[in-house]
Amino acid sequence: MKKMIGLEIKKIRHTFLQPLILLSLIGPLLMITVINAIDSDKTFLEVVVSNSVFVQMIPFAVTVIFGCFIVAREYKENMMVYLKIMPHSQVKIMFSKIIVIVLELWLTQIITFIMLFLINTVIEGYDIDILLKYIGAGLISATTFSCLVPLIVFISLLRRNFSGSALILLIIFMMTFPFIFSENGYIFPHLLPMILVAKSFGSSVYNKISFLGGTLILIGIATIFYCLSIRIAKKKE
Amino acid sequence: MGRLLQAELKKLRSLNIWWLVITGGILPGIITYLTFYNQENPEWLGFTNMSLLSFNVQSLLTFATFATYMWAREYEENIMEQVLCYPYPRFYLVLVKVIVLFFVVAFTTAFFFCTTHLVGKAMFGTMMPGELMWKLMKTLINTGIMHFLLIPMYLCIAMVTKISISGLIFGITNMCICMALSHTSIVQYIPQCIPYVIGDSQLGMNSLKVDNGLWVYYIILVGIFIVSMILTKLLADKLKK
Repeated sequence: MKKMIGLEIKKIRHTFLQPLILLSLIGPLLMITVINAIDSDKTFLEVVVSNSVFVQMIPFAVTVIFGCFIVAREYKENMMVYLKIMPHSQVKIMFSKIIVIVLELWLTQIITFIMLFLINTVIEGYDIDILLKYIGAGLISATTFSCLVPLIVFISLLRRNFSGSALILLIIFMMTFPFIFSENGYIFPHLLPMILVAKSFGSSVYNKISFLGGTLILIGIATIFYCLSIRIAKKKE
Repeated sequence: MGRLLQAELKKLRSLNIWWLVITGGILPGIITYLTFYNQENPEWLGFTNMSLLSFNVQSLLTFATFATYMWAREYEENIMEQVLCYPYPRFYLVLVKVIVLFFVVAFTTAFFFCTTHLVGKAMFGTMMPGELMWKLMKTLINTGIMHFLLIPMYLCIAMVTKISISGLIFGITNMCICMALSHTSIVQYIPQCIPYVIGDSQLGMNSLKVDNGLWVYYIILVGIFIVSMILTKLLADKLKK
């Protein structure tokens, strides 16, 4: 399995994904710093709390593109033949791709929140409570978004087209995005990770959904789409 | 030029992202309906304004994606060689797409107007007040033109990157900038955010800061339009080489 993950990582070298991941790390930090500079009445943490949805959104959008690319590129570049002669099952190959996507997701989400904490420390000084808040938010964000990875893989396997699958996922995600500012936003499961992070920061808008309820919905989504992805991968065999 | 336009329209028919335009027209009204569903004493003005804000912010994504897809599909579907064989100046290829996109913007805006009206009627049980309807029409004409003035910029990005995803990324970034900076005064000077800010002000809500007359924003956007057109001309000439 280790070798397969290494191979997947090798495949993404020298592609447009590398600058894109860098953009997903710099973008939110730049945005928060600019807002903090303009909105001088608020503390840095308050700015992060009120804009936490945007902080998470850009890295997740990049993860969707990343996921669709590594799953669907085999079809576009006619590499399926090479995948089929590998001494591994299609399910294993798919699983290695899921691991790589989850790793990228964790990397971007955790680094983003750690960098935000560092900027916070530079501006307002070190505080252990604030550190714990950032770490908690980063962990919740990475864990909950990971539950949506099987959905990305499923759509990519279904469409077998990188642009098409990324378009569908991101358009659905972005078009329903304004709904996050409503208290009923949880009816769209893909908005749950952002809602749960806002809750962890103390937002009172989302009182209608509990942590447990949100987590259970996300686990359900992950299980359903993981099983569906396995089915498609087995069909390929 | 007429034939080129005809060819482009034929290609447009086979485009498989028409659902994007339909979604861009319908979804703002539905999202607003769901948001206002549980609220006590909702008003037509508040409903229309929220729907318009959603439409303007989502249009950044819709039009950027549609425009970049229209150009990048020539590369992605490997038909660029045939396109380059057309006996017309290369810049005409871009110009035709800009003309087609004008109608796409007009159609989406008109579609949004109709769906907001219908969704609002379903919610309130009455027709939209006449005065508000005129205000909305006037606002949509302004914001529609503003969205159209941004189109060459999207085509420019597509010509440089040659992948349709670039428009999507650009659209998402613009959406984030618009929403995150919406309560600052800087947002009114960011070209992509101008339709979003002006929509709110034209409807009479004034929840976002607008410090200048409408003409200032038109000058900024026309400037962006001209610069982007010049850039696309240069990039199109490069295609020749």
